[in-house]
Amino acid sequence: MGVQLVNNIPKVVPELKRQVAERLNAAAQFWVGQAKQNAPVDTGFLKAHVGQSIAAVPERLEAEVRSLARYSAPTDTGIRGTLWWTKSYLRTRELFPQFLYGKAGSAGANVIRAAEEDFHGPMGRKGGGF
Amino acid sequence: MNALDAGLYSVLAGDTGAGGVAALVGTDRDSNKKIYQLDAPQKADPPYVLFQEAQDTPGYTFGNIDVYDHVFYLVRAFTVDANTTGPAQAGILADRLKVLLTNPSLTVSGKTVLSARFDRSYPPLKEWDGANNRYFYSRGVLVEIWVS
Repeated sequence: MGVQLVNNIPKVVPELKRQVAERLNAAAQFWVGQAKQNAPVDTGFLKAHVGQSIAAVPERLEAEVRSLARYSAPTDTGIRGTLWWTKSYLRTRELFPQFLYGKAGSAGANVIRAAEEDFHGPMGRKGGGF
Repeated sequence: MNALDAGLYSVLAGDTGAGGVAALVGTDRDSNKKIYQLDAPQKADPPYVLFQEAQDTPGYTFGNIDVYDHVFYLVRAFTVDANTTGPAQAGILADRLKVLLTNPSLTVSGKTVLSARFDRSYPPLKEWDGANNRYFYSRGVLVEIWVS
C-alpha cells in the first residue's frame, strides 16, 4: 500500500500570514487603547487623535500607530512630559509575544483584558511566562 | 524602585571625568550635581539631566517570589539655546548617556544587576520656554535594566 504525500504549504503560508496580520492589528489596537488611557487630557484633542494609521494585511505584515497632535512629543518626553506614549509603547512591547502567539485573540476590549489577565493573572501581577 | 533610582543616580553623578555626564552638566546653586529624578528644581539652570522609571515588570515564581524585574528608564538631557549650542550640547550629553549606560558599573542595594544597556534613543525635541524667552532642547535615551 503506497503513501501519498500531500504538499499543503501553499495553503498553510497564506493562512499563517492572515493570522499574523490579525495579531499585529490586535497589538496595534492595544497600543492605541493604552495611549488613549494614558494621554493627558485638556481639550481631548490629543486623546482623540491617536489611532492606527496602517493596518496589517497578509500582503504587508506591518502596522502603524500614530499620535497626530503636533504637541504629542513634548507631552511625552518634553520638559513637562508624562511619558504617556512611551509607557504605552513599552506595555505593548512587553505583551507583544502574547499577541503574536495568538494568546490574546482578536482586536477589541476583550483583547486587552485577556492579555492583562494572561500576563498578570486575574488576581493581579504574576509576571512573565508567555 | 528606589534602590535602582539611587544606583542609577550614582552612575550618572559619578561620571565626572572629562566629557562625563556630571562634568558636562555641572552643579546648581546649592552645589548639587544637576542630575535629577523626575523633575528639576526651579533654581536649576540647564544643562541638566532628568531620569525616571518608565516601566517595571516583575517576574514571579511559585509562591509569588519576585525573581526578577525588567525595568526601563528614560534619561533625558536638557539644554537651552543661550549660546546657540543647545542642540549640539544635548546631543553630546545623549551620546555620553548611551555609552555610559551600556554595561555600567551599576550597584543596586538588595538586588543583583543582570543587565543594563542602552535600548533606543529619542529624537531631538525643541520646546519654547515663554517665561524665559528661550528654547529648551532635549534628547533622551531609553535604558533597559534587568535585576534579580
